[in-house]
Amino acid sequence: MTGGGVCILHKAVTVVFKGNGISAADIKKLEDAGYFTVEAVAFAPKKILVIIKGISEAKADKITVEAQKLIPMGFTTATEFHQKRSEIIQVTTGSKELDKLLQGGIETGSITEIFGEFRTGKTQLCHTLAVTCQLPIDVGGGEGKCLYVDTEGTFRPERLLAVAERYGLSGSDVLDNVAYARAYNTDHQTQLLIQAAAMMTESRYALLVVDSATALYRTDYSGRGELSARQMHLARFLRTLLRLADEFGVAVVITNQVVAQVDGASMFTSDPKKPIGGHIIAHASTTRLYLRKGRGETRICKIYDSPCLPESEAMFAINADGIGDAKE
Amino acid sequence: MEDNPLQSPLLTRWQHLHVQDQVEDCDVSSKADLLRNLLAQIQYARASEITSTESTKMLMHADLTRYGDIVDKDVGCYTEEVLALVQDHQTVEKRQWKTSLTLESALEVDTVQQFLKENEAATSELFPSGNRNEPLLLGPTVTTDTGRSSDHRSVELSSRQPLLQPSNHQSANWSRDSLHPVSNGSKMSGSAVGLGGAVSSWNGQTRPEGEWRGNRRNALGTNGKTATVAGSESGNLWSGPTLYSRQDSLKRPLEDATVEFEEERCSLAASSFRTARDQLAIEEEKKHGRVGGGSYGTSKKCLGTRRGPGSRFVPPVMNRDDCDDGGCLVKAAGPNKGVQQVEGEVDERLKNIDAKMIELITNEIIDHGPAVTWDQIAGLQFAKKTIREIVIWPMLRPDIFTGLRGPPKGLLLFGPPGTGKTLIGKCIACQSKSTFFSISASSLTSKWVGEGEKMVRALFAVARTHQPAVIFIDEIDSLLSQRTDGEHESSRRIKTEFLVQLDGATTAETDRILVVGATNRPQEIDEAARRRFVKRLYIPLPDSDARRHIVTTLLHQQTHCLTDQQLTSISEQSHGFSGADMTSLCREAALGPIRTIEFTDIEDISADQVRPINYADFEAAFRQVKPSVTKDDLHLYIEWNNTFGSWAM
Repeated sequence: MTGGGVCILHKAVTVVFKGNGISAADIKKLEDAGYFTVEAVAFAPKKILVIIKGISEAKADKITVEAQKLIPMGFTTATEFHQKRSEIIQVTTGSKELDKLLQGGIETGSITEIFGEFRTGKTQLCHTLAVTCQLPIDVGGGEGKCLYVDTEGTFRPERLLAVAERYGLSGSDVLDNVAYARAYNTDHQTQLLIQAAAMMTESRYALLVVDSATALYRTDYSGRGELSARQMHLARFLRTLLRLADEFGVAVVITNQVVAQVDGASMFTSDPKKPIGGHIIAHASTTRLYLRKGRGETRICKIYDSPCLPESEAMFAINADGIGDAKE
Repeated sequence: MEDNPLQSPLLTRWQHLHVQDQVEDCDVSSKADLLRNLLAQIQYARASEITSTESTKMLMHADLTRYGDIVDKDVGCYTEEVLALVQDHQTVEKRQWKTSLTLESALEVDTVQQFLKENEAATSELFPSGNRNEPLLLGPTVTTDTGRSSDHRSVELSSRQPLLQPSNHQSANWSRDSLHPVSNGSKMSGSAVGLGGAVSSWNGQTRPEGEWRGNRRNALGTNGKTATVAGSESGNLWSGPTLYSRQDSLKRPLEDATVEFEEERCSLAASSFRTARDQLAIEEEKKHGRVGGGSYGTSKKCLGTRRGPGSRFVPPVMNRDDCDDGGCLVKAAGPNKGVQQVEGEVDERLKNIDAKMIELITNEIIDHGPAVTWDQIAGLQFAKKTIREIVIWPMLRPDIFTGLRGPPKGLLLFGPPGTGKTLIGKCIACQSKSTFFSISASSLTSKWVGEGEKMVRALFAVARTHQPAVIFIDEIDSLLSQRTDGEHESSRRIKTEFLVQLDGATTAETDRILVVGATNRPQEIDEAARRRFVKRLYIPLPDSDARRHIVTTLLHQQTHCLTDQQLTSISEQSHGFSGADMTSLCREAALGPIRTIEFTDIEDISADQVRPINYADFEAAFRQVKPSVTKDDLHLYIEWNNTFGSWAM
């Protein structure tokens, strides 16, 4: 599934299942539970399908079989996969240096996690991406809409306008292409993703931003007692994100906060900051970027974890018109 | 027919309407309107006893049939549409309407029957029996009877009150309409709704609205007050806001249903997502303290063509073909504008050159110099001819000017000061359509050792990317003076770099770069540089014709009273003057008239009161302005020209 084929490849449940002996009522149930595409159903474990109200075990079996008929889920050659990978769109970040570091930009179809202290440009990067994802593909965009889930209340449409101006885009169109929702608690945050799935079946999205995926978890769950519950919830959330990335080929960008290591071991490390969310988020995100503040408006981005990018750093700047290159 | 004061205007009006009806080919609503008017006129005529009953009958029958057709056929169209729209909605109203279906049940109601009886009695009293059986309307049903009776009743009314005329045909129409549902059978409620819908779709026509609402109400009349009551009330139709309000109350559920339907369709699963634009609006609202409570998301959602979060992706790229800034190099949609873009995009030739230098050089490019035409340069025919040959023609036909015919790479203009060398430069900038760099020593030298050479290199590199290009260097002796032992190393390096770039190992034959140098010290130019300036043009002092040309050109904007003879005299007298001297002479002379004005008057005097420039002014000016070039100076130029010049004399 490539970003280029967002709208073409995924098949709406309603359209496909209708002729396959699945009743309209069942399709409605699936859609209500957030399964809008055949992929979604095919990728979901039976256990989860059974949880959906009104879907019996036998029915879940039937649905899965039908879905797997439609979606190729077997083996493929590395050549083919390489071919698919090479078609993946990358969304420019606005800074040449950063794009070079990321070998093109934010990858679609996978989760990119950005973490760092406050004022390191996480939100600014998200804002810039929300505009650049709408650019034509040949200038580094994704030619799709952006879905912005905001948990910290830091979304500022004015910033989008400033970035739009820089690229010579029509401000009102840019704003119209960004669907924004504020999440108020962790359950709501997950709930929004179901709606997001519905919206993604309707029009072409190139980017899904969750600005601070972990902020609400930090406060909704406290202490070691709730740690397990929190991590499970977070894992489910991230799983849903990954599913969206897989199904629709959107680029998923989440931001994360950091925690200071205050125990004795940190005395010897120069930078005692760690991203929160533990291993769950570390494993879930495909690419992890660590931002830290440089001099003035410059920021430094480091590849913290990536399946293919070498570990290195790049400097960018936060300008009035979004993320850009640092001036010497 | 008896004579009646009412008759003639009535007849005229009827005729008018009739003709209009026959002739005009208008849309359904106005046609129906026309017919109603016509019917009203006939009724009126009959009521005022201008026409006989028989003729009225005939006239009305024809018109009514046609009117009925219109209502049946065309309104039926609307009905179908609205029906289709409403079918999905099982509203309470619909069920209620259904109960009104049967007219029989309505007629069984006591009040109706009572009223009918009364009517019958009234008619038999008022009219001869023959009249009663008028086949006014189709169908021998009870409804027709009711219709007729109410018709008679309103006729009776109208005979007393002619102003209430419309009520007549109103009721007639009504009865006709109430036939319609009968023929439609079970679709009764649907058609009723349909009429309502049709009414609302026919804005701007108050009359049909009133009527049809009335009709619908009749059809809906469930609780025994019914049709006939409406018929008798129909006289009030025109003055009846109460009626309207009642209709509205009936209409509202329907509208509500439609609105609900729309909303249901619009509201997607994406209820908690909104577009960034809405969010912006909300923030703006908050900022300005106008907190609208619950009306936030809903208030602006449906305005105009605003898109919701569930809408399709619209590429925000604006359709701009090209941006004007930065010349031809910068792409419109490019993410980074300016020099970096130039560097990134433009070929290898600029690869090893500092971006800042490129920027400095690009700043020297003159896009559109001051508008100078060849005509503004007096005399110098040979110079103009040469320049046209090596600048303009190769531009027009690059295919011809190749190989041996290729244009020279260097052009040196020399001559005494103030003879128009710089003007020629300006003219080249203006007239040639090539990239024009105006370079002075300052733009190439630097405080850093080694920077100067690089600037020269950058200049030629940029010029190469902007071919065809003209590099104009005024006062070229400052850059390319004789290389001597005592000079500074860095200035020598600039010179050598210049020579290398002008014609060296790296220069290609096909490069279309012309270097134009202007100087008034040609003898100081380095011999190697002299070689590279293939064309060396002597720009002499203007001759007497040219001087005359200068004077007339300069005086063109001023008022003067100089005769041809005087002009010739001036041009003779100014022998040895350069172009610049001639300009200052004319300036001086132009001040003459001003000097004669009293100092006190200068504030008040209007511009056209200043007297024209005359010969005496020039005579005075000649006493002030002297030639700036001596014979000896000229001698040097002429000698140099004879040795090296292209047009040796």
